This record gives sequence, structure tokens and C-alpha cells, in this order.
Amino acid sequence: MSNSIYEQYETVIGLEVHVQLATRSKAFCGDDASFGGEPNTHVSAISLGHPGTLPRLNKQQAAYAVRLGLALGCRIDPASAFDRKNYFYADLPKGYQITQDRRPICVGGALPIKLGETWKEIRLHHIHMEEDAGKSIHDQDPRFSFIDLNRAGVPLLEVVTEPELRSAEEVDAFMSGMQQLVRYLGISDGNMEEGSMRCDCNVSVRRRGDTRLGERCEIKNLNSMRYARRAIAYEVKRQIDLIEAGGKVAQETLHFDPDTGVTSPLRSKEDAHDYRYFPEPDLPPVLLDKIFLDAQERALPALPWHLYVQFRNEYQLTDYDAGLLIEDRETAAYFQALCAQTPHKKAAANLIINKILPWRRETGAELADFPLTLPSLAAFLQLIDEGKVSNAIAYQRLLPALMENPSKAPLALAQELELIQTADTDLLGELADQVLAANPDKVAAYKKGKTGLMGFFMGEMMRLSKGQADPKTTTALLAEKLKV
Amino acid sequence: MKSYAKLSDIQADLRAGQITCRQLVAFYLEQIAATKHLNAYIEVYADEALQRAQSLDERYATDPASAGRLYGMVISIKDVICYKDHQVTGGSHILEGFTSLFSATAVERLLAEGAIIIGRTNCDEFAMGSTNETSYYGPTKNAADPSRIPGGSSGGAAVAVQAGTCLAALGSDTGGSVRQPAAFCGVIGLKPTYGRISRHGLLAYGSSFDQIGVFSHSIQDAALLLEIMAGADEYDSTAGRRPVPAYSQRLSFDRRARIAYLPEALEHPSLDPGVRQACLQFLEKLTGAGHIVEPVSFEWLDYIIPAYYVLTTAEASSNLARYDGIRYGYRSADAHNLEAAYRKSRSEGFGAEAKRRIMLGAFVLSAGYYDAYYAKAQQVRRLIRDTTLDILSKYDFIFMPTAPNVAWPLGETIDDPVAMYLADIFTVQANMAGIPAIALPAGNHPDNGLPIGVQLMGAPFEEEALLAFSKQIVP
Amino acid sequence: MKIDQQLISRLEQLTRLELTEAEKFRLEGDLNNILAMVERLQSLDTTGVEPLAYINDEGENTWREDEVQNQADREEALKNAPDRDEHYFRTLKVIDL
Repeated sequence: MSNSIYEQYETVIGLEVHVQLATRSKAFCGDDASFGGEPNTHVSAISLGHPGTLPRLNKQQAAYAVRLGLALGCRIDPASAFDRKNYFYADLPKGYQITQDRRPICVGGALPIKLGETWKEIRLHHIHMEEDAGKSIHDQDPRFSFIDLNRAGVPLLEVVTEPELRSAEEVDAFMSGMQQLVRYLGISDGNMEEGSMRCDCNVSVRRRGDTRLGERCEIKNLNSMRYARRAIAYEVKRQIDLIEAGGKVAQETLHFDPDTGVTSPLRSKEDAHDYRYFPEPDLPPVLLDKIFLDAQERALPALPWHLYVQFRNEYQLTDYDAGLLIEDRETAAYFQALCAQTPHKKAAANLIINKILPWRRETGAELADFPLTLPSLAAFLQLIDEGKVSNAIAYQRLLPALMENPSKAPLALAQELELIQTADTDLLGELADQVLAANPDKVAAYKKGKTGLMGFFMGEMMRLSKGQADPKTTTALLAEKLKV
Repeated sequence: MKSYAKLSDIQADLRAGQITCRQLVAFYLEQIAATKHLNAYIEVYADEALQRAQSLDERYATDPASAGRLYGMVISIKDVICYKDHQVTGGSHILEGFTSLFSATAVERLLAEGAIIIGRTNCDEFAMGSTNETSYYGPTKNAADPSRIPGGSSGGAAVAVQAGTCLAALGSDTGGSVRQPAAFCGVIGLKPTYGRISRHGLLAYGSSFDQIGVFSHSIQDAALLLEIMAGADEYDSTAGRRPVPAYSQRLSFDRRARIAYLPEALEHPSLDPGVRQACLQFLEKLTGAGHIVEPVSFEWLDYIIPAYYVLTTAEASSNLARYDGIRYGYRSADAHNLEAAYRKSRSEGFGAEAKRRIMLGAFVLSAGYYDAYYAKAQQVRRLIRDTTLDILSKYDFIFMPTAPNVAWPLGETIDDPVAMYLADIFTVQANMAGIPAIALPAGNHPDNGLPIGVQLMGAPFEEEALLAFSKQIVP
Repeated sequence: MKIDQQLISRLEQLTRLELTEAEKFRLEGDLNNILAMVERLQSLDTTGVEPLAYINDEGENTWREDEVQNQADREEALKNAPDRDEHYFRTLKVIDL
């Protein structure tokens, strides 16, 4: 089918993102919630679903949920409630999941996602608290499956968007944004490969201009953004092909096979999704008072999209640089801390992006461990700004030397290493005379119009001055002396 | 050894050196053996109980206080209450052989005060039933007439106390499962306020209805046991956090009580005339003692059972989903894949009544029916609770018969579930409203001599008044 | 509202129960009788009545601090398992994933 047919359709995507919280203990009991651990060691009678056991809510789960909700501009429900979602699966110990169906803890809100240089707000439907299931291992043995319940009961937040995403690119940006945010907030690793962030994608298509939503299919458990892109691409084409051939899209739950690149129906775990939700009688409503809410508000860091605006508008950084500096909270905070010490914001950005972030990558250390202190870095930038050291020399020679001798003041070390540029016109004038006297043919050529030779004369000046000639002054001097 | 009806008498004889705890346990074990045909016990902890009695006697000899306030109290626990490293099966095949990893909070508190658990008692499967006939381990028989039911679901516990095999027993009450068998067996049966005793370690049936309850021969003992078991618990989010009064020490009631009764109940067509007679006599006795007894209207009586069965079967269908043969319990040998394993294990493991309730519960919760059944029943529950609490704001207690009749012959109702459900009509109100209620022996039936029990209900967390007043009537 | 064999099949699937033909027949009758009793609720006007979900609403949270405690060890966790190996609960294969 020609491309133009596909272009007549619009893709409509809604996401359900599961975020595994980095709490110490599980959602409803005191088992260790950390990743890993020998199979079936992070368990207790409660997470095993033994007879006679009852849940008790982990306060930290509610706190993290509120922080996420506040960051995303949600309305926080001060009396949200739990429900039971009933279905059978080997890794679901109680035969039901404790979740929030009727009154989730956060309602509405939006995540700003970055597409190129613009931001688009993706509205959320809600965020709710629930618990994770255990793990079934199916590929170890032809006859048996193996169940590990370490993960059963680990706290999750489910973020449900409105169907406002329009492409795989937007999905990618949303997932990246979500990952960035939960890491900023410190509530989750946001690690898709490890499973601490998972995505179910609801995909439908409709002819452009149509306002009704098409029938959607849910692609479950996409655990990498690459898979998500491919799955969406496949599914969109599948649905359009089906409609164009006169068929109707049936609402199905799908599984994406990364090896074949194909989505296929998941045979339903639960007949026609009848989860028989009802209020969880073992847990009373989650009551949030002003003291609690204020505490979560205070715990919020500066958010990436706010920092982006600040870095672009106040500090005049490019989109690219601002994007890099907001990538993680540590970098943004470091940049801001440096900016507090120097007026040279752009230079500070360059220094961090070109030198300090690569250093972090190579050494695997933290920014706080960078050998030079912030005041030292600020002094370094000041030297460059004052023209005392050329940019090239500063980065190529002074900075490495400072990193070897971090206790030395940049000015003192530069002087020691004779890196200070001179703008002394007498001295430079003498050197200029020398250069011009030694190259009469080039001088003549220059005066005849070969102005490119200025580079040669500058190079000679640098050589004779051992790199200390201040470029601006030198250029002006040479130009004066070479005047016809 | 004489037969005891009160802990205080036992403790007096222990103090005086007339008996030892070990002798007491040996005596109860003999009673258990002698009444084996009643099938009250699923498991008897003979050696363990004797050993524990021995060590408590030794502790008592060196320092009496260290043996605990319940030194000399021998109890049994219903097969829905967890006791660490002991089996608990819910009266069901599906949990046969299961050993609990922990003890119920209520059990831990009693053990900490020196109680001895002599065995686990028979009950209707997962506490669902009113006759003790749905147990996988066979029916329990009424000691007053072994051709008759003891009531249910805590039938074994009631008979254990009735037949003198222990001094008191723990049962559970979701719709009357302590009070009704207490009435049928002629003993005291107490259901506390919902949330008064922690449900941690109680196999869940109807989560918003269940409470551990007490069978005893004396109000004093029921009060003491309640006092020790009750109170907030870190494992139960629904357990009330109010302080626990020293019930056992506040049993004097020296004022005029106001008691309400429901004419609709006393005139209910299902009420046996002999039972009605006993109720009326009881009310006359109260009036004669100077208390005020007045009729109040309660328009919801006939809605209680339907609403109760919708809500409890819904909760039960969910609570019983965990019995799947994967992590514990019965697993069918017949299956070839996981799906088949689920179905066969559950179908072979559960009895007919449990399956019936699971299916009904799934139905009332299912898509399209939730609003008409479940949500509706929740609304009716609020009406019932509000009206009941309103009555209790004007009266100290509400009087009710416990059951419409006395113990009937084994096998009579098992074919008619609706008839069985309707017989709960007088007990279910207390569970619907979450209020405390007690069944008190009130003589025997004029025609057949079988025990009759009457019931008093009190305001939430007002067990103190309920127990004190009850002591006036059953000293 | 009438319960028929089709609905019973659906309920069997939802609850993972498998009844014999005789049981299904009996259950249909039983459930219909029970439903007839339950239908009585419909005649009650409950407009504006808030459904009751929590018996004790003490107006306080009963949540707990985020601490690791009271774990079982693996042997305890697996000891009641009908089928297990050294580390895992073992079940028959799920034929559909």
C-alpha cells in the first residue's frame, strides 16, 4: 500500500507505566523489597498469601505516590482507597492484587515531554498505588514452571495517560521523561531493562480529522524503548492494513515478540477481563493531612522542565546544552552550584559538558568527587574571561595541570607554568617587528591582498611568545603594522 | 476430679495445692477421649499440653505470677485459627496437612498469659455453615443429643466446652457462628465488636464481618479472655485502636438498663413457640429485676439475610482464591497443566457449600451485576447499621432470640441452603452492624429439653456494659 | 435474573472450579433459589444511601514505617509446597502464556 494511505491515519496511543518503587520494604508487609536476592528469600507468610494473613500499607509508598503526583501537577485525593483485582496466576499469591480502582491517590496532572526543541504536555488520567506479582520462570524445564515470590508485593505506582500520544517518538520521549523524573525524585531506579519501569501501550488508529477513538489494542510489558518503537510501528500498520481491507480492529491484549517483530494476541489470563473489583475490606482509606502533604512538597527537587526553562532563558544556553545539563539531578544541581559561584554561565556549561561529564563517565565517580572545588573552577573560568589565559591553553594545559594539583590556585599555577597571556603592547610590538622583519616576502604578499597570511603571522607570534601572546591585542598590533 | 465452670475456682484449687495444671489437662484429655464420638476435635495436642502444663506448674511453684493470669485455663481453638507450627485446615480437605508459620495474635496473647491449648476443634468448612455438617472431617454432634447438630460454624468449639473437655474455647463469628452453636449447646458465646480482636491469624471468610469469639461457662472467663486478646495489632489494619478496659474487673452492673426488643423478631413466622416462650420469660425476668424493656421498630429485618449473603459470599470468593495448590495445600494428582491443576485441585479440595458460595460471590461481583447486587447490599448494610446504632443510642442493649429454633437432627437442612441461610436471621444483624453480641443460656425447650439461648447486642466497643449486664443474668 | 448453565460455565472459569454435570444441575437450582431470596433487596429504595465499605473508620491511618522485618527463611516459605525444588515452587507448565 502506498505511503499516502498510511498518512491518512492518525495514531492514538495511551500508556500505562508501572514504576517499581525503591522502598526498603514491600507495599503491604515488611519483606525486603530490593531487587535481586536468592529466590524466595524476600518473603513472609503475608507475601506468600498464607491463610490468616492481612496487609498493612507501607507509608513510604504513599509518600512517593504523592511526590510523583505533586511533581506532575495532579490533584491529590486525601482519602483514596484500595480495591481488590481478582484473577488467577501462578505468581499472584492471594489470587487477587491489591490496587486502587475507584479512588486513586492522584488524579489528572500532566508530564511535559521534550520533542526536539519544543515541549508538549501529555495529560494523565491518574496515578494509583498497587503491588507487584512474583516471577514465573517458564524456560528452565519442559514440564515445569518455577515460581519466585521475591517480587510479590513490591510497591508499584501505575501512571495512566490520556490517549494523547501520537507517535512512537512521543512514547519514547514520555518514557524517557518518566524515567528522568522518577530518578530526580529518588523514588525509583526507572530501569526498564531490570524491570523497575514497565510499559503497556494502548494503540489505536483513526482517519485524520476523525474525533472518535478507534478500537484499541493493548501491547503488554514492553521493557525497552526500542521494543516499544518497533511494536508500535508494527501494530499501527497492522491495524491500518486491517481497516483498509474492510476488517475491524478487535479489542485485544497483545504480546510483542522482539525476535519476530510481530504483535500477537496474548491468550487471556482472565476470561474477558472480569476482575470483579470491590473495595479492599482489609485496608481503610489512606488519609492524607496537610502536614503529610506539605512534607512531600518540601521533599521535591527542582524539576527538569523548570530547570530547562531557567537554563535557556536566564543563562542563555542552547537547547542542546540545556538538555544535557538537566539529564540527571546531580548534573543539574552541580551546574547550578557552579553558576552560583561565577557569572560566566555559558562557560560553566561548556566546562561541565566538555570536561567534567566525560570525566564522570570515564571514572564512574560522582560529580561531587571531581578533584577541583567549585571556587577553583570559578577562578579558572574567571582567568579565561579576563583573557589572562587563552581558551585553548586553559583547557589543553592548565586544566590538566590543575587536576594533578587541585590544591593550587588556578592563577598561581598558570603563572608557574608561564601560561599567562600578555597583552603588553611594547613586548608584543617588538616581537611583531621581529616576525615581520623575518618574512619580508610574506609581508609584501599580504599588503598586495593575501590577507589570509595573517594566520601565518599570528602563528609566528605565538611561537615566539611561547603561546603567551594575547590573540586580540596581537591581531590588532599586526594589523596596524601591516597597514598599507 | 470435679468439673469446673470457672477459672477462678480452678485457680483457687491450684493455689491451695489441691490440683496441678498437669492433672487438670489429664482430666480434660480423658473427657476428650470419652466424648470422641461427638467428633468435636480434629486434632488433640495431648503430649504437648501435658508438657506445657508441667512447665507452667514448675514456673508457678517458683514464682506464681510468672505462670500468667491464665494459669489453669485450658482452651481449644477452632480450626480456622492459626497456631505456629501446628496444622490449620479450615475444616477443609484443601488445606489438609498445612502447617502455619505463625500464631494468631489472639493466640499469642493468651499463650503469653499461660493458657494451654489442648486441641483444634472441628468446624464447617472455612466457617461457612450453621450446622457443622460441611466439615471435611465429619459432622460434630451435640452433647445434649448426639443425633442432633451442635450448630455452626464453630460447632466443635461449642461442644468442646459443653462436654467439659476444656474450660473455654475460641471460635469465629461471621454471621452467628459463635452465638448460634452456643445457644444450641447451652453455653455462653461472645462475639466482640468488629475490630476488637485482631484478625491476624484468623482464616478469612467475610473480611468485614469476621471476629474471633469466645465460648465459656461463665461471664467472668469470657471477660478475662476478651481482655487479654483484645486491642490494637500491628498486623491488622482494621483492628480498633481504642484502649481495652479491664473487662474482667468491671463486671458489676448496678443501674437500670434500657433494653430494646424487635417485635418483628419475636413475632417472626420462623420462630419456634418454645423458643418464643423462653424469650418472653427472659424479658419478663428483666422487667421483674427493674429494667426497662421496650419494643422498637426495625423495618429491615427481612433484608438482613439477603444483604449478608451477597456481601459475605463476595468477600469469601476472593478470600478463597488463594487456595490454588501452588504454594501450599491440596494439589490434585490428576492434572496435566497449570490450568487443569487449578480446577481439579480446587474442585476436589473444596466441599459443596464452599463451592456454592464461591460461585455466588463471583456472580454478585461480576461485570454487569455489581451495582444491582454488591453495591446495593452495601447500601442496605448502611441502613441496617445506622438504624441499629440509632436504637443503641437510646437503649443499652437490643434483645434478640439467637436462633429461630433449637438444635435439629443431623442431615435435615443440608439439602436446602436457603432454609439454612434464613435461620441466621437473628444473629447476622450484629455482624452487619459490627457490634458486640452475646448468647446466654436461657433454659431448655419444654418439649425436647434441648438448650435455648437468648441474645443481647450492645453498642460498638461497649463490651464492658454488655458483659457486666450479662453477669447479672447468668452469674 | 436467572442463572443458567452458560452463566455457570462462566462462573466456573472465573473461580477455577470444575463441576460435574450433576453438581452443575444442582447448583443452578440452588443459585436460583438463593438469588430469588437476594432479589428482595431490589424492592428496597436506597436512593442517596452511601454504600458501607468500612465498618470501623477511626479517622486515622494504620500505615507502617518503611522497615524490613519479619521475613521467613526459604525453607519455611517452601515447606508447605506441594511441589518444589531447592529454591522454587514448582508447578506444571502454563500452556498459554
